[in-house]
Amino acid sequence: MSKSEKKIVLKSLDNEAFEVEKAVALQSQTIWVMCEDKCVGNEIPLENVTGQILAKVIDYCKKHAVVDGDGDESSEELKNWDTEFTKNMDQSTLFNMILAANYLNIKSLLNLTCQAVADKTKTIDEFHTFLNIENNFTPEEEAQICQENLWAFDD
Amino acid sequence: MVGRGEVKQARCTGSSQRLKKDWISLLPDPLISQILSLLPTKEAVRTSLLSTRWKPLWLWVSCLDLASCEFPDLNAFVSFGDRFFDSSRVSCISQLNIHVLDGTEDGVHVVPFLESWIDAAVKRKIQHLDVWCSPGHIIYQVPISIYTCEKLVSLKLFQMNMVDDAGFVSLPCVKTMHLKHVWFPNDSTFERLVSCCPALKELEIDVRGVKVFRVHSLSLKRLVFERRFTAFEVVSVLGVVIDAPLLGFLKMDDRYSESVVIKNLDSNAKLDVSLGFGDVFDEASVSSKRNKVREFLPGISKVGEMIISAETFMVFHLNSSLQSLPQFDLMSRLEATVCLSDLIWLPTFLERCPNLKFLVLALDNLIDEIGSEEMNIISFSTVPECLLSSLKFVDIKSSFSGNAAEMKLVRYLQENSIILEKITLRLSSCADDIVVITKLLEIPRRSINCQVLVL
Repeated sequence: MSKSEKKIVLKSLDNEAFEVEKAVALQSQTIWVMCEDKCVGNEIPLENVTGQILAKVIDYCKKHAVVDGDGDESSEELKNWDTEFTKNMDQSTLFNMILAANYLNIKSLLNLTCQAVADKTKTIDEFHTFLNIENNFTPEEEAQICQENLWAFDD
Repeated sequence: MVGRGEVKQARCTGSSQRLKKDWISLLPDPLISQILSLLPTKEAVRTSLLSTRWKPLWLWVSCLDLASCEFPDLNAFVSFGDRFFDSSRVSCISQLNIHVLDGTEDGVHVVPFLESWIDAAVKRKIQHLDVWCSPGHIIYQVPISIYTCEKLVSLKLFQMNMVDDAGFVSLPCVKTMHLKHVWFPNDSTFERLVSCCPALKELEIDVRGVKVFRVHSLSLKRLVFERRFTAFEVVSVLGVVIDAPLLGFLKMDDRYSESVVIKNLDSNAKLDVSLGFGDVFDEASVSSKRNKVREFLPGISKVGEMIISAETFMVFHLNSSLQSLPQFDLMSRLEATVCLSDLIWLPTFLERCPNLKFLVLALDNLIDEIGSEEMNIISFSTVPECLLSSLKFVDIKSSFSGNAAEMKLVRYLQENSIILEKITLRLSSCADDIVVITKLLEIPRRSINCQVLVL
């Protein structure tokens, strides 16, 4: 395989181009299928992902591709890297990362980003404060929901 | 109620931060359900109180962890599960953990709810099923649908009843199976279950109702087998047959099986045995036991590591001669618990381990039963090959009091091992340290590099 065949160009929604190793990009099942189909050239347009988010996704894929290939980093280090990676993401970034991971079909990244949301919202209170979800129930509706699953609310 | 209090408080916070956007609610339902699947089930249920948007979403979680002890009573538990497993829903469920404490002493009428829940989970393409039931009056039945669960990857059951597989068994994806206190109707149901899992890697069993266990598997790598209990009359012949060419780890704890035959095992496998070859010790059983031990031994000749219990070592001692022991050419590590009365046989066993590097010994100290005279009689006459060419590390795990038998053992190993690098001892708290250590230092060492480490 020549050098150019090993590389692939990913183009974001806002027309930002990223040249990456094929092995890095193929962690996305979506890209993998596109390459298999051979209906695209060396440049793959990703219409649902912005350049800002795509850059982060590529960071993640680079990290994980290297480790899978060379095995020179312990799984412990990788875990720490993953934690750092999502640690300071704000809500809108997490939201876009989840959508991107889902669209690109990168299972481990989808798990990681969903886990990051779950970790920040261990209690219902945290759901309201961290996620800014506004309660639109009437007190009567609330009471009825509590009554339906009493065991979950009664502590 | 705390739940409602929290919500009211949150509502105030919510309005003061109205400028912040609620991004996560904008995700499509399946992605929100995926996040909820990562929460403890109770927290996921509580999100129904967040907003009208979130109210039904938890019902689509793919992982569910249900413990009856979290509910006020068994009825509440059953009705919750019944609603969740409502057959009209079609979402997939990947993982289901159920923990049932027996509620029968409360006089609750128990319906066979687990059967219908498991059935529903099978329909929803369950991958990981873990059901734990407390030992009690009721043994819940596993539904027959479990035998044809196409997506199942791991099955862990505790205290349940398997039904007779009258029909077809197909479990193409099962990799892990742990069956503890699980009752089988007969031998063939067990045999078929194992042999119809072509991807099975790990099997841990402590099951009831099977006389002869037959484990035939071309994929199995790890097997933990226990038979700690038998409901059969003595007249039933109990046994185990293992034929698994990739098996790399085998642990057996079974004093009841008279016949244990290992037809195939991966070479260099790790073996941990605690076998009795039948629970009866009478004159009539002696010759049959000898034959059974001789039948067992060739099957384990290719192991790389062996852990052997005091009982098994004794049975080997009493029922095999040097001729009937196979040559353990690949064995590099032996960990044996040995009764003092069997210690004399240790060199015979070691003669069959020509490449042994690590020897870990625990003396089963029944010193009170053995007089000091008997201890003095213990003598080691032969020097096996491994002492001359391969043994590097000896570790005596039992606490060392410095009695005659222990000293003889250490003397024997130190005086004869040519390349021994380290011998580790753990002094007993009641031993006189200085006396014991002085005695140990007086023992000549054949290997000039030998360290004696006293812990």
